[in-house]
Amino acid sequence: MGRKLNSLVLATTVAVGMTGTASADVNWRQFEGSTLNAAYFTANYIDAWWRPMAKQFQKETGIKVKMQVLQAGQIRKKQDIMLAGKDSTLDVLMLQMDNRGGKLTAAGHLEDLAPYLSDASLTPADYDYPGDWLGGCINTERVIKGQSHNNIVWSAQAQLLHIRKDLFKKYNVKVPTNMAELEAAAKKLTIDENGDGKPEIYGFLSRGWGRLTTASFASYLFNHGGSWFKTTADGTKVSNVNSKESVDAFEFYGRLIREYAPKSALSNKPPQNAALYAAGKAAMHQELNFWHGLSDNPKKSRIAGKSTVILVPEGPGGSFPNLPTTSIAISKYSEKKKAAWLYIAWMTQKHIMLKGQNAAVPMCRRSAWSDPSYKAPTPGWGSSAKHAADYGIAIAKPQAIAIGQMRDAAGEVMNIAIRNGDRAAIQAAADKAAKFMTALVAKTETGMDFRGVMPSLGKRMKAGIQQEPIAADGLDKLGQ
Amino acid sequence: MATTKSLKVEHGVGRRLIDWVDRHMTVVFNIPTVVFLFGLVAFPVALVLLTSMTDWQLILNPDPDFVGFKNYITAWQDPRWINAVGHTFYYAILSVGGQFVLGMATALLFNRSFAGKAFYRSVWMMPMLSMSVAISLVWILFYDYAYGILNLGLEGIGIEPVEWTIDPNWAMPSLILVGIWHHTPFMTLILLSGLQSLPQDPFEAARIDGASRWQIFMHVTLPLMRAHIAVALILRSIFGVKEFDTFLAITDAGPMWATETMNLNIYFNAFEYQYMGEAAAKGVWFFFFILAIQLVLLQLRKRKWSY
Repeated sequence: MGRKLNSLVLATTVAVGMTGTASADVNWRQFEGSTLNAAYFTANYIDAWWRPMAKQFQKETGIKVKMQVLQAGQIRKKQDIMLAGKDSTLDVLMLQMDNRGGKLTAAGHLEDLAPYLSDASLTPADYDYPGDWLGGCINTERVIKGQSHNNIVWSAQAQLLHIRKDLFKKYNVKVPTNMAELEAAAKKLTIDENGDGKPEIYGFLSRGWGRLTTASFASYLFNHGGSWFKTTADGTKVSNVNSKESVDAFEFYGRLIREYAPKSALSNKPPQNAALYAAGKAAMHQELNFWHGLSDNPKKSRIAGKSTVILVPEGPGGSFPNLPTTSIAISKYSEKKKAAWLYIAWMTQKHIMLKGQNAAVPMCRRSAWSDPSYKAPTPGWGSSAKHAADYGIAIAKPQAIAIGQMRDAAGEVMNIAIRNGDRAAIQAAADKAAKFMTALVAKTETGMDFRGVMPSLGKRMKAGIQQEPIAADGLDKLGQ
Repeated sequence: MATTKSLKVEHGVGRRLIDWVDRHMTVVFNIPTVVFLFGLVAFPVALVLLTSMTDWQLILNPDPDFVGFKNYITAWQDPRWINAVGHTFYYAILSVGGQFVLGMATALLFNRSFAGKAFYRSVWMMPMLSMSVAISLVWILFYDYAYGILNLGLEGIGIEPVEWTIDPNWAMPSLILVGIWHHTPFMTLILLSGLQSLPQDPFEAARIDGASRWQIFMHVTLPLMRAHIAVALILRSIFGVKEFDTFLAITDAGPMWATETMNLNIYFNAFEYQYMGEAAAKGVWFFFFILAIQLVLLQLRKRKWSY
């Protein structure tokens, strides 16, 4: 016992000593008295992690961080206007590389972080980048060939299928492992308990509003073998939303929404859908995994403890976990770039990111997932979210420079798929959208090698899924 | 000593300045107004006109080229813009028309004496005082297909629920309804002030001559109210064409762009797609539309009507 205790004390001393040595190179108070301006999205992770950590950061470094937090659409516009105006008062910005990353990179608005990463006076020796970062996350950092290292990806949010464990069990429904089983489950779990012709519980709930659908639809599109774009034999990037496989996917997702979702899904935004799910009105809900925090909160949800998440079931084209990660970057025009980097480096340290991980914010650091202190909200959440973070790709939006118009074009096809459902009508809408998207690529991406999604990556992920069949093991593995 | 000092003022720089101001009083007093107008109106307008003739994109093309009137022409090759123009007038005509009919009816009602009039009038005016986004959030709940009060009411009387903001055919009428609810009190206010300022002699003469209520309304009230009606219609039409916040909050121009108006189309072009040049050109077209509406309504006001 005594020897064990001695070993423990020694190990702890060595560990603490190592941490101390590693961090000793960075003088965290070197920019004491500075104030940084940061522009962030509204999300659950702001109050769960960013705000409390900003206070701790100020305490440890003497640097104050003024956070402006607005809804994603608003803060993106504000960031764009400030960057276009070369406003030096914006220091740190949050962004999704699969959304505006290409545009901001092409315009050169983001600072190259490579010199800061290699500067021992600014980056802790044990920072371990990219070694400690999950593969899927790292994959989403670069969107244009030859891109500088202009962002640090930190959040591994994934689009996953939230399912009601209790309903699957009560109605003896198999947890879906393919698209056919998913539709069968949605059908069986659309339940009209009192027989008034109006279901009390809907089988499937997901985004049904125009451009917003691209994020929740992406895995369905790629799993069916479709994609937003493809490269022709001569290397030209063209839209692929009108291929047979893509139209299959539009038809399938449109049918799920039309027949098994409440009609309000067509106008709902994610918060309203999440509220419906938390109120117990749906058996399955396709959305980002951080919404699990709402449905699992006994104070705000009627289904706390009854829900978990799984990957979107495999389709004829494979399994493509949709990983719309979030990055943090420094404005090229900031006058406090070193202090800004110190903030980023401090926030993305192992032990700080672990705190976020334990607050149910899925992090990009591998060590945060494997740390003994980490406990997943549910086993299903842990395995599915980790898998998505490891193997996922950024397919939530049609990857292009003119991202807004691309999302609107794809959203118009989805509107037809949901409201009409007629194959010929969907094909016609997809043909029209594809023509528009291809022309837009030619107009906005000439001379630019925008990476897009690589088919080989898809094959790797399919293999990854087969090696780790999360959903296939059924409910037992999901913690029931 | 005092005399010397005052002499210095009388003949010094201060005196000359006062004399100069006296001589150029009209110019000096107008300087603040001119600066204000130039800074807040003329300069932005000039900037919009300049921007509209460039291919400026916020992020991707910060150093734009001059393209002349290209953006003004290409605007009319965009089917969404053409639809947006139609949607704008569809909304403005039906919304303002509805507001006028209801506003006139309520103004006539509140122009009469009845018990509790002050209370009812105050209640009637309340929507006008509410913020657009706040009422939009409430109407989103009203319009909810499954749980909204409107569909619950319809189902209660055996009518099929309506896909208010979901169905492209119903979305614009739903917004028109919100517009009528929100802005009719303003119409009532202007028309009521008009009714209360009318001379009573023509009404008495008409009654003595045996005119019916309808005849009095058509041939006495309406002609006398012409100036007030014109003001109300001009103001509400301009605001109706410019309506933005309720559209963005309730339907976000959807579904399938069925509620995209000119204003929203300009917003999407400028801030979603970041084509600043094209958006500015559309903004100028939008200005001309508003100007045309004003000119038409002012002409109607000036016209000599025969009854």
